[in-house]
Amino acid sequence: MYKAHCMNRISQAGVDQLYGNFSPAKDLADAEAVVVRSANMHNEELPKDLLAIARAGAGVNNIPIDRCTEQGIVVFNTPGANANGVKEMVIAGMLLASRDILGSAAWVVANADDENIATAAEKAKSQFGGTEIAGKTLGVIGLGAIGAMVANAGRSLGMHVLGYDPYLSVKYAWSLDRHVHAVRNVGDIYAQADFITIHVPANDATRHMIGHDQIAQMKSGVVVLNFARDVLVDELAMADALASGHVARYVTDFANPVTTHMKNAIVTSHLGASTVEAEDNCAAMAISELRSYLYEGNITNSVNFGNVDLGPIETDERIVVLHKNVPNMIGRFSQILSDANLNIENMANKRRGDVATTLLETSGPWNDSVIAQMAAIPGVFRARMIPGK
Amino acid sequence: MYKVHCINNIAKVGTDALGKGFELTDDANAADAIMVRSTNLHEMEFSPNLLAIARAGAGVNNIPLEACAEKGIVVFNTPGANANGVKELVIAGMLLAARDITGGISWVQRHADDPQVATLAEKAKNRYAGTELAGKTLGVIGLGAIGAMVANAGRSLGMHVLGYDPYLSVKYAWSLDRHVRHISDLKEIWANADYITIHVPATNATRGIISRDAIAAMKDDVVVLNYARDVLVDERAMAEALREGHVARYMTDFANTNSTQMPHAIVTPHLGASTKEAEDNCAIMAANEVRDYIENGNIDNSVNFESTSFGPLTGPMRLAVFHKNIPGLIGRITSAVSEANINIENMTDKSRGEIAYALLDLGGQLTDEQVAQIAAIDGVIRARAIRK
Repeated sequence: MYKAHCMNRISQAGVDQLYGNFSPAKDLADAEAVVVRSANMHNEELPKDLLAIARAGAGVNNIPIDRCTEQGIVVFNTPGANANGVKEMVIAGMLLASRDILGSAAWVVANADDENIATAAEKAKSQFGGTEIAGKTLGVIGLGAIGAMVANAGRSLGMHVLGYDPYLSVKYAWSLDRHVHAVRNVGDIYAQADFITIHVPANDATRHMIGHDQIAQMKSGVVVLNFARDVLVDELAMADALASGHVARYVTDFANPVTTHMKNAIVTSHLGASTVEAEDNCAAMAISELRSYLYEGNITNSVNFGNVDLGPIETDERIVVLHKNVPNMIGRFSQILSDANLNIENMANKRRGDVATTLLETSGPWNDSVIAQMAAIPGVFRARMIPGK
Repeated sequence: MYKVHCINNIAKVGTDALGKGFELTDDANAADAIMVRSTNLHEMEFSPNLLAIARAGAGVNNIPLEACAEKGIVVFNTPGANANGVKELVIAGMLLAARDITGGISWVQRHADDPQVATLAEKAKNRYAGTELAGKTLGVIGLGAIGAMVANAGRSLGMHVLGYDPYLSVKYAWSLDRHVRHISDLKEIWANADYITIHVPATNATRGIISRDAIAAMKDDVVVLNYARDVLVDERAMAEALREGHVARYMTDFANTNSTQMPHAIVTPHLGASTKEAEDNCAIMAANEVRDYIENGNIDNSVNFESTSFGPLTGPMRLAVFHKNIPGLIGRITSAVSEANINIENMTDKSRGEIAYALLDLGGQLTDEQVAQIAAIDGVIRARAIRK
C-alpha cells in the first residue's frame, strides 16, 4: 500500500476511506500521497517520493503548483463535489433577495418583548413583502456542475431559465432540463433576466465580465448573484448600480471592503461549500483521485497534468511518465522499450500546456533499468512502473 | 350593471377580472358585492342588497360568517391563491435552518469596516457551516394547495418526501410528484423526517397537532416549520425542546410572546402570503368567485355555504334561494314554481348547518312578482332571479 498523509482534518468517513486504500504516513516527509484542504503548502519541502497531492475542494492557491510539476507531483482538485451546496445557497440567495425575510426576522428580534407583537406584526409585515421567483426569468452564465444544477432548480421552482455557456460539455448538456433555453449571446441574458447568476471559473477572460457596460444592459430591478469568484464582477460598477437602484440586489458570497459597503447587497462569508455533505464529497473525490492515480496511473481532475485514463491495468505492467511537452519524447520512450524487448500494448498521451502525461502498457519480461533510462531523459519529471495483475 | 365595493386596496388586476357588467362603487350600501382584505367587518351594517363578500386571502376571522349566512350573504375566500408564495417561504425556511446563512450575513455586517474582512471570513466561515437539503427526509403534514407544492419542491431539491393527509383530494393527489410517499400514520413522519412542515387548517382536530408527545417522538436535530397557524404547535413544549437541543430549529411565521422568546427559532411576521403575486392571485380569484356567483348563482370556495355549480347560465332563468334547513320547505319552493307552470330543468339544494342554498334551472321565466312570492315563503331568506 502507498503511504498517505492528511494535512487537514477530514470527516471520519473520509479517514476510513483514506486508510482503507493507503497506509498512514508518519508525516509529510514520509508521504507518497497527500490530502489537503486549505493548509498552506507553499513553504513545505516536498519529499522526493511524493507522487500526488489532492485538494479536497476547488481552489488550489494554497499549493505550489509549479514546484509540483517540476518534481513530477500530480495535483488534483475536486470540481463539482460542492455543487449541490452552492446550488442551495443560490436558491436561498434568490429567495432572500425577493422578499425581505432577513429584515422581517430582525424586526421580530427587535420587538421580541412587545406583548402585542402578534398584532403589531400584521401591521409591520407589508414593509417586508416582495415578489416570488416563480414566473420570473433566471439567467445562468456558465453551465458546469454548479450552473447546470442551478438552472434545473430554477426550472423546478417555476422560473423561465436562460443558460449561456459557449464551452458547454456533453455531460452537462445532457443533465440540463430540456426547458432551459440556451442563448448564444450573453447579451440576451442581460436584456431579459430578472435574476442573473454566474458560475464560471476566474481567468483572464472572465475577470470583470460583469462590468459597467454589462450592468447597463440589464433590466432595472435585476438581482445579481455571485457565488463563483469576486473578481468576475467589477465591484465598483456594481456599487454604483446598487446606489442608483438600477440593480435591486447584489447577493455575493465574497466579503471584502467594497462589498461590505454596498447598498442593498446581501453578503455571506464564503458559505457556498460550507456543508458537511460538500466536505464529505470533496474528501471522497480527492481520495478516489489519489487511489486511481497511484494504483492505476489514471489522472482525472488534475490541475497541472493532462487527464489520461486507460481503465484498470489489463497487462503485465503500466508505465507512467510525466514530462515536458517537447518533440520526440514518445519516440525515445518506445526506443527504450523495444531495446528492452518489451511490446507496447496500449498507450495514451495527453498534453497540457508545456507538460504532458504518457501512459504505456507493455508485455514481456520486465527490466527495472527501463524506468531509470526514461527518468534520465532530459525533460522527464518522473517515470514510474505500476505492476499489473 | 352590478356594483362592487372594495374596502381595502384590491389589486387592479383583480377588479379588472370582474369584467363587463360590473362597476366599482364607493357606496357600500349600493353594492351587490364587497371585496375585502383584512379590514374587520364585524361591526358593519350590511345593506339588504348585498349578495356576496369576497375575501382576497385565506383567513376570514374579520368577517361575521354566521350573520352573513343568516342573511343569505355568501362569503368567499381564496384558498391556494397564495400557495406559491408560502411554498417559497418554506423553502427559504429550510435553507436558513440548514446552514446559518443569517449568522454569516451578520458576521459580515459586524466586520464591514475591517480591511482584512476577506481573510477573516475564511477563518470565521466554519461557524456558519451546516448541511444540505438534498438527501434529507421532509415530512409534509397536510397536502392541500400549499402542502402539495411544498412536497413537490422538496422532491425537486433532491429530498425524500413523506406526505400525510387523511383527507387528500383527487385534485392534489394528482398534482403530487409520484415519488412523494403517502404516509397513513403520523408516527412515521415523527420517526423519519429531518424536516417537518405543517400545512393544515386550524380546527379542533388539528390544534396542537405538534404536541409534546409528537415532538418527543421526533428525531434529534429535527427542523420544524410552521407557516400555517400558530395554534397547531404546542409552543411551550417546542420552547423546551429547542432549549434542550432536541429540536434544532423552529421556523415560524407567527410572532407571539412565546415564539419570540424561543432559542434557535427564526420568526417572521406573517410573510407567507406577502408577495405581490399572491395579492394579485387572491384578487383575481376573489373577482372570479364574485362574478360566477352573481352572474350564474354558482358557489365555489365559500366559507359559509357549500359549493354548487351548474356552469354558465344557458336556459332562460335560474333561481337562487336561501332558506332555513327545515322539512317541507323545498316542496313549497318547487310547488310555487310549478304553480307558475314553469318546468324545473335542474335543481340542487345543499345545506350547511341551519341554512341551505337551492339553485334551480328553470325552463321559463318567473315574473318578478312570482319571485317575490317565493321570497315571502316562511323560512325563505332570500330568492334571486338570474335571467339570461
